[in-house]
Amino acid sequence: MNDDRNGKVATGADWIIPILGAAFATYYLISIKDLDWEAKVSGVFCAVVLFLLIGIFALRTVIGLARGTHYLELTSLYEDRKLAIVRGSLFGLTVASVAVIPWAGFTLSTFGFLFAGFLWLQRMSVRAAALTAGSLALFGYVLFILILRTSFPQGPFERLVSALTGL
Amino acid sequence: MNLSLSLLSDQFLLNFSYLWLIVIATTIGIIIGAMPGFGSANTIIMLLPFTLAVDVEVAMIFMVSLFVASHMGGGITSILLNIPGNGGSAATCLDGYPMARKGLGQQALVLSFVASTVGGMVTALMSIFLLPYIARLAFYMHSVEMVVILLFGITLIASVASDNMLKGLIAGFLGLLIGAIGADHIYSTPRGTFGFIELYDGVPLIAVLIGVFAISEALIMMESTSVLSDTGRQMMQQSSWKETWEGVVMSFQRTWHMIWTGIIGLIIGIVPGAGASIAAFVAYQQSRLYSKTPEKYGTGIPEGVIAPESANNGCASGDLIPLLVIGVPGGTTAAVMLIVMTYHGVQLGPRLFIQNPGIGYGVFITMLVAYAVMLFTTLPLTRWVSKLVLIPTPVLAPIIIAFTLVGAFAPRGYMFDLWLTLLFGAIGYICRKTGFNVVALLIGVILGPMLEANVMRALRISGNDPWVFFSSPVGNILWAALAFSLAIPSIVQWRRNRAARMVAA
Repeated sequence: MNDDRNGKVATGADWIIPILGAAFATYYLISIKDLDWEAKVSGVFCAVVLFLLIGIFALRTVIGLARGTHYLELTSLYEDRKLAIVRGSLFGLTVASVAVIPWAGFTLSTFGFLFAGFLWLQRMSVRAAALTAGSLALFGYVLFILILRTSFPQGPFERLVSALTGL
Repeated sequence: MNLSLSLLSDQFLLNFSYLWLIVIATTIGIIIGAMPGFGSANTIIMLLPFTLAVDVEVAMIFMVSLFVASHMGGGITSILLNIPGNGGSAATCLDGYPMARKGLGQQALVLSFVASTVGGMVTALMSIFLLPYIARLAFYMHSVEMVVILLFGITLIASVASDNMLKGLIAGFLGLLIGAIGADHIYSTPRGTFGFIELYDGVPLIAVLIGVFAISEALIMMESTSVLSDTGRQMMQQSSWKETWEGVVMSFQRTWHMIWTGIIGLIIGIVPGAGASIAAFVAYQQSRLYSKTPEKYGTGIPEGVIAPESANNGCASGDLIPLLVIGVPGGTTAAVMLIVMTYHGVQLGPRLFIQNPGIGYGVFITMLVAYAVMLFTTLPLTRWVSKLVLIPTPVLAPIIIAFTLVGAFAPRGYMFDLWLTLLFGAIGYICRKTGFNVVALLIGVILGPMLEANVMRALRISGNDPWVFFSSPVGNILWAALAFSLAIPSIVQWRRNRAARMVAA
């Protein structure tokens, strides 16, 4: 971690990325073990260097802990309960809005996501949240679907507009 | 090469007669440049029916204007939201965003626009007169040299963008490995795809870009109710035209800085495949190296915005030189331009300047005119665009997520890419919270496929001899520079520790 306390370096949460990296490198090496060497030379090089760097990182941390220059701390990803709820809600809402896109289409899923986000995170009034989210979703529909022709799954709104206007 | 004053004046007149088209193209370019996922290449592809239908001169004016404007537009979201519109503007986040947080967003935007304009114009002018000479540089860059340049790029970015070089290198090499996902170039066998057919073409760069920058930034943003500090908010609320003028003065106080960092971009842009992301970081690193106050970089200083933006736009000129002179596109947009020109029957390479000098030199004249047009159309906008950061983060964060997710979906039209973006959003969030630089991760993913292609090519040409990587004089010099850049931080740290021990003793 970057934050120093009394000159000491916190470590713990900063092991997540090296562990994920090592796990992925191991999986990658397993996935290419039967391939011709030309197909794996670059990947093997990157994976070996990555393992080497993670090894140095581990060694540094162990030495730091032994010398007392590092200390264990696992809470830096969490911080406090309120912030965790806000952040979790935002990510949860994002996941939910992506999950409903195939049925609701771009415009309605965007409207629903923004409306819920404004209500929950900014504590906007229902009317203000609906107006802001509605205008933004409509702007997105015009720009991305009508002008830029992005091939998002069609939802009830897009089908209705298409049926009424032929756009 | 038939360069004459009458040819240049003809080209200027042609461009001025299509000023309306340049205004439209630059406006589209700035907008799509600021939107992650909507790069100039994608937009030109979408507008192919237009560029194929009109005369080749008109098509080139349109494509070149849109291309340079997208390079300029990428800096807007880097500065205001810490989300680069494209790889070339990733380095702008390092000082641009801290400036915006201090309430100097308007000045930072002006710095970015002026540096882009000066860097772009100077390098376009240089390209016109030095075209035959600087193009020869590209002939020295074979696959061996490219491998070292790409590794050099990763180590450079790891050291420049990270407080902790080791963590930066881990992020960079993890990015390279992620970039190696997908079918290989020779046998087309899938590697590391977790069984997903959507990953056979590799990890989509836009999903990584939007995930690690936009989604993770939106999650981080929620820590406070505003992007700005308290003093920053007060300054932004009282902002007027004065701040725009201040930005212009700040820029021209650093004219030489804009010029030489633009030239760095031009030189790196000439190397096919090296790209704007490396150019911007090299320029940033060089700017810091020669600064009297290197410790201020990363805290929000004008030089930290000028260097990457000028290099990013200098690279735009460099990108087009190998395309015109040897018929090898320097980047994706240049490749699309090649397709359009070939469709119109234009023969690229040295013959272009004999048969069609108007097109060869006209590209750079269009750049000059487009940059001049953009300076007048973009500068007045800074006062209002910079107000974006006044929006409270609980409103801004959902808007960022909703609209950047569109960019993740647009290039391929797969729902899978949206899920991948969310995954990279979570990875980016963990990286940011634990000190692993997301820029190094992203650049690794961008450079991964290039590294693999060049490694394979070098080995194939040499009959699978691994010593080929140490067989070229230029390559060996670059290897030495790479080793030096890796060793120097440790040596500096060791000397500091020794000096501290001596003082303590």
